[in-house]
Amino acid sequence: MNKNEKFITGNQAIIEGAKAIGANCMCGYPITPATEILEEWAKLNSENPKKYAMIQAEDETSAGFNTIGAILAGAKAFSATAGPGHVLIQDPLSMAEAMRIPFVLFAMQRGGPSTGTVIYGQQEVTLACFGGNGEGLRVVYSISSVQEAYDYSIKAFNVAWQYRFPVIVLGDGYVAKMKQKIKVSKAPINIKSQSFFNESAFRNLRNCFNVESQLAQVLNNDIKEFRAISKKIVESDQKYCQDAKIIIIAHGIVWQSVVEAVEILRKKKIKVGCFRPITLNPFDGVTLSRFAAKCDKLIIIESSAGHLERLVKSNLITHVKIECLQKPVEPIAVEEIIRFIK
Amino acid sequence: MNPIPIFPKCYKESSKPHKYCGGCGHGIALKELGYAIDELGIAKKTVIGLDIGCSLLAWDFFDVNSVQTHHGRTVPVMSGFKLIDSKRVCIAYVGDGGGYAIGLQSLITAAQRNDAITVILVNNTIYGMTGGQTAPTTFSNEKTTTSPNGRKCWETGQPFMGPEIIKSLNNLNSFVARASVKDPIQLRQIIKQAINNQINKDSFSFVEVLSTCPTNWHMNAKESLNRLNNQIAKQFPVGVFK
Amino acid sequence: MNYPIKILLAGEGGHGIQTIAKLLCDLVLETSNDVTYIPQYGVEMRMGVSVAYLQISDKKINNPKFSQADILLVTSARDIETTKSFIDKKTVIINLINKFDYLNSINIKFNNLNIYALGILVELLMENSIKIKKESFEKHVVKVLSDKANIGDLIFAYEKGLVEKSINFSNSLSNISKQNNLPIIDSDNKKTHTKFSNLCKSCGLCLEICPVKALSWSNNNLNYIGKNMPEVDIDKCIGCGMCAQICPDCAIRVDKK
Repeated sequence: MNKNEKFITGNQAIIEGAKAIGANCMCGYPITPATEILEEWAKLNSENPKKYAMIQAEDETSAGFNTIGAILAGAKAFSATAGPGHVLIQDPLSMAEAMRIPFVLFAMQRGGPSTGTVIYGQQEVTLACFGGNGEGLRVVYSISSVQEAYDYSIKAFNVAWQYRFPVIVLGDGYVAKMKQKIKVSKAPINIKSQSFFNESAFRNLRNCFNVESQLAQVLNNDIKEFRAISKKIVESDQKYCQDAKIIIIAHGIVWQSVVEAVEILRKKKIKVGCFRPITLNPFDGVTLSRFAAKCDKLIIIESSAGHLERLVKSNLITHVKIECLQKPVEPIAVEEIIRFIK
Repeated sequence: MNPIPIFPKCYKESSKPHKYCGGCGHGIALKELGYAIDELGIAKKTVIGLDIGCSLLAWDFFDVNSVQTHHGRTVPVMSGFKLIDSKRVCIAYVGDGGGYAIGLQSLITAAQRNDAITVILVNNTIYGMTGGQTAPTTFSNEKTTTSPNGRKCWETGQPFMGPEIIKSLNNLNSFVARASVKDPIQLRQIIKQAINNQINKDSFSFVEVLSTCPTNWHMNAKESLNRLNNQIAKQFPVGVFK
Repeated sequence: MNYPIKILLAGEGGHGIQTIAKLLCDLVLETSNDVTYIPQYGVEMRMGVSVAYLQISDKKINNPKFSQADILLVTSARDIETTKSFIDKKTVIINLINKFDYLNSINIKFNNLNIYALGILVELLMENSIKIKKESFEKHVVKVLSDKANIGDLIFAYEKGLVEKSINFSNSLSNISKQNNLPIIDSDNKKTHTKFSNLCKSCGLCLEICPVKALSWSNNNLNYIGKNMPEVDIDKCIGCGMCAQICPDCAIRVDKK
């Protein structure tokens, strides 16, 4: 391994990315499988508390509000959580959504509902995209490898601070805990953080309004902006979709199994392709629809009972047959996918 | 030349008359906070967090940077802010619900951790903004909309003694006190002491302010002052605890 | 007027707007009509204007809110800003803004302004074929009577409203009698006592705290909400400034010479 390669876990890669982009504050609460993110940060904090500020909060809700306070003061701050903690942190996330606070959150999915398992699931998709009592004005990246944990950690901070919407990097327990070799590199761009306050013009910030029309004015403006930036930041990937009769859709770590399965099936001359939303919100319905229009059917594969299915169906702008392979809270092996296609 | 009102210098005049009900103790507490900020000369470096409840009516009260947060979450926001910008004076202005109910956990954590913020908690023994429900500080037999026959303290708990609990948390340098809107000058001094504890000792400070809510107590000025001076002052002793 | 008849009632908090909205519902429900009512609620209500939306129809009304009113009741100057968007060519406006002198002259107490307004509304609706039994008022109002109210005064105010002919039902709010919002200054050679009517809310704390009982309720001076303000007996006043200290609104200043 040369010096810009590392053999680390997804959680460690998240912190490497945060360091590379100049993050300087984390507020969190331990919860499996995201705990190591806080622990890795704590190591940095113990060596340099000013450069790597930290609060271990009393719970995830408080951690989220600590993070907001830090961001208001100008820190490039973030939090990390999982499962039930992800549920709790929706309260501060919706304040960030309302007040355009660049909140970066790393959420490692585990089995739900409730405490479920501490291991794996893909059931926090709707929570990440539309949690809270708002309109889902948050960017959600779904990562599938340790390299992506690093790359999208960097991207999350830049997107958050450039566009001023919360950004969630959605992983899962497998990506969080597995070790892979990755390349670390300097962030190509680095959007600076800024304090929300200065001394020359006092700002009175609020998120509670008196009458319907006051809130409507602010919210409609934010919705318009979010839709405008969606075109710039929407991301997806695909393989073999150009001539595919069957297109498999998956995200996160399931994508890796799907890609492998598709390679095997293609070798057997089966015209199958695969599509992966990288941004779950905004969702690249346009690209998917373009491919879907020319194929016979879509197969949605996920470790949940329909989170991805709902996203796909609400973003498809073409009519096509859809089948689903749903295995809530359990991993999906390459062989299972191949069996399902045949 | 017509005389003008003696507002604190840090008052935002365009938001006056303010939105608090006539006779509300918040008006007195905020006025004294304003004078305290003037006298300490800290308007430019202060950030005030407002909670949900009648506290939020102060969102545009001052020409001082401020942020209105979620209910019970003003303290953690100010703690996070202070961590990053320790030169600012961070004040959390909350009520008895935001402080002693939904926000109690964060209040105690901030005190225990000795976060160098100043929490001013306005206690009027009721939830005012939402129309008069029971608060942790509500008295036995006090009628509220969620205890229409009077609060049954043997079932729901005795009135919560916040400063007494906070002072017993393990911290030598924190400042803990209780004051009342019926003595505005003393209230101002205590607020200044609390803020100075943040500035000079880099430590936690907490001031509970006994206050009135004529609207939800269904009382006029005479009756609400009477209640404040007698029943409330007897239960919640005023003073500096540490 | 066509069904549904859309009625918007507006006044200061404490003017009893929601009370008369509920009473009007009680009265309309005795007819063959249906009624829907919703108060404007929210943060705006704290020291904001109290607003009630009512609709009367022969069918069920589903949407409680509307954007144009057929009848608009306004009782204070601050209502204008909140309600002006509801006025169109057909809106009948019952304008009771700053009519305190007139009310005094017909013996209506300020506290019963709302009941008087209710009488006017009932008569207006009856003229538009809503067959309200106006006598039912008494049996409904006793249910909402507070301990401090005098039923005789309420009936008097209601009946005055029923026969009121001189309130000008206009279609515009441009002709509002202006209120004088200058500070009220009393002084002698030792001190000056100033009261600001654009800040005072008539809470009465100053009256209670004064150690020499120099403050009392004025019969003449009104504040920006239309309530009676305190006035000072400058000879009794010792210039201690406790009234200014306790005032939550900075509505008093005491200057020693």
